Amino acid sequence: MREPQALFANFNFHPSLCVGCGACVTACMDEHDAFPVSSARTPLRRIGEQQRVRGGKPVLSWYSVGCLHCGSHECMDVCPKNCFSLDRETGTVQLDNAACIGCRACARACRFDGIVFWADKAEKCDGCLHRLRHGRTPRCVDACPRHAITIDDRPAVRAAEQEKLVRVLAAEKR
Amino acid sequence: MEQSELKKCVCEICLANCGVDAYVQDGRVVRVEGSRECQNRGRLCVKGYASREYIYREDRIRTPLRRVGARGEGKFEPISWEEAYREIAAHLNRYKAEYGADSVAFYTGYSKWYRTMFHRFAHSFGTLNYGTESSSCFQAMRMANILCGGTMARADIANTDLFIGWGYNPFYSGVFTFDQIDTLREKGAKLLIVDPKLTPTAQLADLHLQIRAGTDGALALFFGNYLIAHDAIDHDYIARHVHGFAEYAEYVRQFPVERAAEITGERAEKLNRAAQMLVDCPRFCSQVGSAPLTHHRNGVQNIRAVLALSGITGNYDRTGGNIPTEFSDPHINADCHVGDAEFIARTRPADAKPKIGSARFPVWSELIGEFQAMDLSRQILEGTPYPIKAVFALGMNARMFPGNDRLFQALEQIDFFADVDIFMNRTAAYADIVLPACTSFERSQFQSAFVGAYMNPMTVRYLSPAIQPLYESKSDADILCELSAYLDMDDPVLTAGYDACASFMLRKVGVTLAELKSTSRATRIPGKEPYFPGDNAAYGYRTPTGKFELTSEVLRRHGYDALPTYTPGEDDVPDYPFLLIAGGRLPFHFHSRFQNSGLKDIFRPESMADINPRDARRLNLRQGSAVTIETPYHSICLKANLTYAVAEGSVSVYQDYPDADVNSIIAPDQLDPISGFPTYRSVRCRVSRAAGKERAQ
Repeated sequence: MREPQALFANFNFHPSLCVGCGACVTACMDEHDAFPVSSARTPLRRIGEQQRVRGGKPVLSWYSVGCLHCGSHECMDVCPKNCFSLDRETGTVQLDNAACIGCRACARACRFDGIVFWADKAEKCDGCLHRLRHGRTPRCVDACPRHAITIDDRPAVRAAEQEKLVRVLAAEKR
Repeated sequence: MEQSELKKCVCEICLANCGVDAYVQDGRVVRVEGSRECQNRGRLCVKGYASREYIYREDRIRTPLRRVGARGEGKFEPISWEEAYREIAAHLNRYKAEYGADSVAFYTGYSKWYRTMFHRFAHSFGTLNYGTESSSCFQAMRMANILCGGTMARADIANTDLFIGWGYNPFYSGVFTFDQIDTLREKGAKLLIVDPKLTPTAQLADLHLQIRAGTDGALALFFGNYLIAHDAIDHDYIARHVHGFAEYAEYVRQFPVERAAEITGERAEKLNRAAQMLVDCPRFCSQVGSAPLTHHRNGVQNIRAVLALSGITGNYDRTGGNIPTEFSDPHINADCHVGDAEFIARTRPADAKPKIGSARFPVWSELIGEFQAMDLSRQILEGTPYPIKAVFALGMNARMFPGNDRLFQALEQIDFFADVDIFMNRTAAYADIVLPACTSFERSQFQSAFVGAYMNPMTVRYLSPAIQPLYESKSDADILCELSAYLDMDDPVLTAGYDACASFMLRKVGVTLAELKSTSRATRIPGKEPYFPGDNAAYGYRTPTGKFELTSEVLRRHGYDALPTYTPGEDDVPDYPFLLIAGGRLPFHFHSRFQNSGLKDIFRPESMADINPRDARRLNLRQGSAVTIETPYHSICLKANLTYAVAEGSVSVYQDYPDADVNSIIAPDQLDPISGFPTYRSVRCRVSRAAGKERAQ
């Protein structure tokens, strides 16, 4: 049997579809052997909630964050130890933290809160690389009940949705 | 990934019974995914994906245990199964001999899959005292349905033009229904959500009525008034199939929009707009969840008022409306009639005393084949009308009970208490003997596929264990069968073991257990057809009048209001201006099963009181401020979480945070008189900034 083609993974997150159920978080944890839960290991994907009042009417929104394997790769540019690399086959950003010195430059540069630290070593989503190589979608994409996390090759949609998420996260930090 | 073996399994964390593809390597589950061929269509929820956390958690009970410390202290010594069984059997049989079989109460919290067997187990022991956590979930909703149409009914979401979800937010747990909402909207059908909270579903709705908790009945009666005034009712259906319409029509005139607005706290203009939606979409259905509407003193009547809307518009027993569904009493591994009812009835004792709670909750006692567990602690402590000497429980979560200090006190005083559970928790710490149960991954199970959403599946299947039981744990069903032998029960089926029970239940199905065991796929039950809407109407509903009862003859006979009358869900206590809403479920928590899980640390590490930011400003509260919530019964201190999810005037607290146990401040005797249900969601309280705690933030 012919090996299925790897997916080129343009990760996308659509904030308007997210309901904050958390399925993506535990699906990711299952894939990455993060059970039993340890407080020392922040999950690679996390959810949050945001509240606004529009014209006197409260609006709740939810978001799921993790590395989006975005096109801009700020993490890759700023890392002094070149821990990040681009997987050409799948378009995902890969991290080998063996040389990581915990300077957190990557986390500061990332606009999507995609990088976490376990015992001062950077960690991030690997895009379920092994699944992509078998032609399978990443776990968070499979898990989302509303398809808020997708693999999407429409660059314009991708850019617009990324901007939305950046605004959400920037508002959270204020 | 490549070396792992795929095993078909089922997630039994909640009741939805989602199919699970468990990948097993070297005897351990290494990955779980949803089964695509099952009704969950390849998906699981936040809990299901955390199955490996669930299976391999540190607080799994490893061996049978005998208590060596004080009750509740949690000091145990490991003993053998043989010793444990002998000890339990000796105690239970002694109380049976001295005080009668009714002096033992059999109670189950979660799970549900073995309940048919446990019910028969109680019967074979010689008592009707079989009770479940459904004393505060589901059964009141079922009672309301039975009182109206003689049977459970479900909302036919797929075929409706207007879906009315009362306290409905499936995104957190309803794996079967969440995408029906999206499908519904794509079709152009309307979505009306009635919910005191702002939820993801409420935000998707065409209209969201954010009413005060517990006032759903008043809203439904206003809708009834509006529908009659606009002649949007089905005269033909009413004439042929509805009982008590004249009385009902007279009564709902007391609910004009102004009064409904005053009671519900929602604007009259929005109420009228919602009512007009019902007029414009003559084909509508109502989803009245298991718990949100029932956790009020007026719970059963509120649900009857909602169902009455289906009655007067002919949407009861009609495609796209609320359709009667078979729902056998034990509602466990055989949701369809495969012989489970007969299995239970076969050993029903003829000379047993009335069930616990029968005198206080006669309607419950008549309609529901379980004791009303809200009366359990009282009967243990007071010993009336007869003494309860022992409790044998599976998965009991005493923390779930309102005013749970009273149940803990009862468990401290009772002569003997044995509990079966997967995890060590505060309730099990009170037991004299604790037995370790295994998870669904570690046992075989005969099931009618996919119980969730009150569906009526027409399939059965048999699942083999994905992995061996961890430590010395056993399947709940095997524990019951083995214990029945030690008790010398005169029950040849139960004592013969789980397969014998499954074979018994399959007798009328036309599929043998051996056939089921040959595959992990679901087998369609031969000759079983789905319910055809209208059948019950044609042959008469199973109510005293044979009609859909707007005025319930059962309630009238017991001296309750026959009409679905509205009475306020809470007392009007001026000193307690806030409405406490407890009983809501967090997506990552279910009964006692995640009490010690790390999932909470990820999603909601601390006990928090959800409070509207406008109320918070008035009370000088910031995010994380310490607040005291005080009811006339008790008070707790926890942190404020400012959120628009709750309306002004309400405060919402989730259960099962040990440092701030919200159920401990809810009075144990503030119950719905018809169902006996606790009033978790309409409790009067005060909210204030806790002094001197600010530094701790």
